[in-house]
Amino acid sequence: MNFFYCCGSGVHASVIAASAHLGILKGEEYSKRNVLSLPFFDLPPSQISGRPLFLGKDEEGNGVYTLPVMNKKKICFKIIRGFSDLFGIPREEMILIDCEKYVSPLINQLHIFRTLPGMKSLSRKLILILLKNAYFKLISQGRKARRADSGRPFAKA
Amino acid sequence: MVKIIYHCFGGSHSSVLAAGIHLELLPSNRVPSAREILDLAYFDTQQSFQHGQFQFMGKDKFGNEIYTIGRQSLGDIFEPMLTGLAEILQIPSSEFLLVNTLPAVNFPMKLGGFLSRALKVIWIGRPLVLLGVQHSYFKFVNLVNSVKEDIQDKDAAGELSFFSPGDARA
Repeated sequence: MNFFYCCGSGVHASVIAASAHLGILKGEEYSKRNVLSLPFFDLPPSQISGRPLFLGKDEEGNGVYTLPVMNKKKICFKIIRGFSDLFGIPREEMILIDCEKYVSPLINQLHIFRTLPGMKSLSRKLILILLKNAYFKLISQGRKARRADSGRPFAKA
Repeated sequence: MVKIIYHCFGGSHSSVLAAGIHLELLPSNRVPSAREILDLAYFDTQQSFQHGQFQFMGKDKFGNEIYTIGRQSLGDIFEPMLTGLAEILQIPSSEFLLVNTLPAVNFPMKLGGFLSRALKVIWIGRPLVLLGVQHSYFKFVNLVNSVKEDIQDKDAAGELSFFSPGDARA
């Protein structure tokens, strides 16, 4: 089974939730340093191709990925489901988890904003402020996914 | 057998047209009439809620399955997302081909498509689309021919997965 944590950029909210799933984040107090040290966190837009980013495997051997959905999660989920159906992939093989619902869509704009000269630092600060509000919800989402029984998808497109 | 997926913004015009040419429902040697184009299944009929749905158009003479899809403005991430997922899900890249038809779309098609599909002003949008289609028709024919050549060239090598629009000699 593979878990795909989805958010607009695929490198912010989804990275936090996926890290909680993998136990990289233990759910301790929010720490800017911890968040900034997460793999792929705040990767520049130029380095995001749209491919799922592999964060690791959980204790049960399930793949954990993040996926950018560019504020179009509804259509992305539909396309992904449709594509896997075309090839007869069972839906349980692929768990799509919406992390976008916990955070402001402004994060994506700020992420693009960082590409302007001298705006990287300001963009990152504002993104961290926006993520801080949703931090524990994202952690809880990641932990919930880890606890989900295999073969029983809890998150649907 | 390959699943060939033609994709564009709305899945209503350019992808359907390319699929129609591929399936030989439309001629490759002349510009079709407006009636012939409008008779094509799904042409200028998609609603926004249908975006993201794979539409099966038919099988070509080699048994390849032809699909169209409207993927809205996911242009940049659509192909990497699906090829990435295919790798993870162990779907061989030789089993599908993604073809972006937007590079062959001209301004009248864009404007007409927007008027007809988004604003529902069909009486002006549809004739504009048809005008655009007839004007750029051979770009689509070239795109489809390139896709067919690409399949033949790469089929044995197992190197399919997406077709770069830049490869089309449009």
